[in-house]
Amino acid sequence: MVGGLQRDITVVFLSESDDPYLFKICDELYPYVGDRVRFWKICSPFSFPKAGKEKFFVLNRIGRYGIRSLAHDWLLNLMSDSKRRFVYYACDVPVSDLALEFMERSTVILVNTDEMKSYLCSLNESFRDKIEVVPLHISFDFVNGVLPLKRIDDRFHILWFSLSGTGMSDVAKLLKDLDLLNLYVRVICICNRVGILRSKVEPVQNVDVMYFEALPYKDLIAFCKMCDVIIYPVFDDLDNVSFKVKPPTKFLNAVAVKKVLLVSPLKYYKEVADGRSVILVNDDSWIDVLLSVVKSNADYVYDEKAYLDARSKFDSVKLCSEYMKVYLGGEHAAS
Amino acid sequence: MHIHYVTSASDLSFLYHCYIPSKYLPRFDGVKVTISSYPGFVEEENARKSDVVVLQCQTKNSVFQFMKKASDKVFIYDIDASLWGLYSGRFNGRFWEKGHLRVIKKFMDFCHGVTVHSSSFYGLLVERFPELKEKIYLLPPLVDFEKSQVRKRCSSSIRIGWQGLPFDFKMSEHVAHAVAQVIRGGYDVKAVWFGFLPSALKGLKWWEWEYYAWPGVENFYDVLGSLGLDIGLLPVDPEMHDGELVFRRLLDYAMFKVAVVATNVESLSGAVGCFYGVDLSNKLNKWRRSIMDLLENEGMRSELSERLYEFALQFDASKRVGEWLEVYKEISR
Repeated sequence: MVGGLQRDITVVFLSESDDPYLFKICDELYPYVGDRVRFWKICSPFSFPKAGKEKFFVLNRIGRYGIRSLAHDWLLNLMSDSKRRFVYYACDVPVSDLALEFMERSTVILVNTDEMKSYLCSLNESFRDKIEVVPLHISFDFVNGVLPLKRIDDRFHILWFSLSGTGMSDVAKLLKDLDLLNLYVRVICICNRVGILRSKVEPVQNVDVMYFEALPYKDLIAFCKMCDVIIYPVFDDLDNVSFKVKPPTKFLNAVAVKKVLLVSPLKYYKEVADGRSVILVNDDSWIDVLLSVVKSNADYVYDEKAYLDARSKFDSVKLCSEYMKVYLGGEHAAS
Repeated sequence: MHIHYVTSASDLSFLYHCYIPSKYLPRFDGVKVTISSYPGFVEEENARKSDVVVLQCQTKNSVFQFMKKASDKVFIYDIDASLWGLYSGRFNGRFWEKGHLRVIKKFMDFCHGVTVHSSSFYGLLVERFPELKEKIYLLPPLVDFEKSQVRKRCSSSIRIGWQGLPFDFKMSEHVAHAVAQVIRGGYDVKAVWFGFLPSALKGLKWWEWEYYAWPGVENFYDVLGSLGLDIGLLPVDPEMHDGELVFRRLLDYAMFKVAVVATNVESLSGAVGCFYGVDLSNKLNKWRRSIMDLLENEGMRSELSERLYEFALQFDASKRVGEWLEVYKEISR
């Protein structure tokens, strides 16, 4: 449970696992919500009924695996009570039938991008009136408080992460190409079920690749801070709906730790690309760009203006009130 | 013959008892194999069209009702020791409840045959249910050598690993302490844990250990092969283990020519001389010493890994799967 004091309003976060998205919509916002509000996280469906008496609920992508249990049925039943407020957080596809059932019964659906809104409306037009779009945020205070990891040696460090594992085959292809060159670099790969990536990439001989299962958010930030550059290559799947609707998490992480982001021309990254801090890389120029970054990284120094710009738009302090309006509804949020 | 597996698992039991046979059995003329799992189970068309239905560790009432209605089919109950929490010859664990046993017994009574995968479990079942002796069959393990591609980097550091499932966490934690002590002793070693992350590793420096989560049945051997292990650990609590799964894990290491340090439990007695044994006390210093012995002796490592590989070849799925088909045919007669 986040917060130990008695407070006026409790917002219950229900989730099937304690994942980074739950951290974003709960833990990362909590320092800014004020004294009257308490956040309560429940990360196992079978513990959901503990919160049966509460009024405000945020459902973190419940039912996305499509596996139904008695706890899901209990929650669906509770959602028919119109005196309670249920916010369904949907930030990514695929959406299962069970997830859609939860969305239908929720009071509000919270998404991070207009594209996600359009996508959900294409699945069910009746969602249109209850979808609220609030941009994804990042707590710059939290990021600033994390220390970078200690380096093993003076290699150039490249970081790739994708907590859901999207883009795994793309980075595998890039690593294979990179292995043909004899560069003094280390590539750190972080994602769920990272063993699958390893099985696609190994054996590499000329580049040191290290693999990590999806880490706690704080550790991920520590890796981001240690590395020289963050990459997100997508070659074959640019039209995949998932890339169109997802919020630009790589950008937020890169900007908050003041690192250069090299990224394929995905929709959201096109909007934030400035050619210095966020650099769009086409399919056939990844190796060239990486070579030039590794050999003369002075050309790719982070632009302070981009940092300040992002801080003014995406800092949790700034966006917290918008999230609270969605969580509590206009009346409570105002009070 | 259309064989249909009904499974509720997506773990190693499923891999060994459904996934691998379903890959090799269709190589025989006239054999078709299909699988259904939760939540479809018996509603699948394949289940209705099949001749032989293998129920892997099923206890669901819906499956039993399906069995009662489908009188034209041959039903085989495939059971492994972990279903009962049956370890090393003694019945224990929370699954060992009268109600649960009654359900399993009902399935076994109703099915035309029962298949098991280890001789110790076969003996136990026959001893406990002598009236079922005629219809209990022992199937040999099948090792999928087509997946035994080792993908290893050239590196000076030795990779020591453990693979298993989270229910083995106590022994996994135990040997992780031994490996951590070895690393702190100055050896150039990387600890690689696959399937469970012990807290002992988290105390090491971030570059000294790796952890890989369960990647799903279809990717399991690809990932295991890519780990490039030099030494594999197989610690077993002699009081609490499933003999078949332990033996299978030894064979999994064998596929990739990994030298193994294992507890000398009875279920591994058939492979004595093919791995480096630690006595049943499993004391930490004995594990540490055994690991260091193998670390310091490259010749012994390659000798043991070759011997283990040769031993495992006798269970090559492409050669032994015919025995499974024969059992299925015999039950169908």
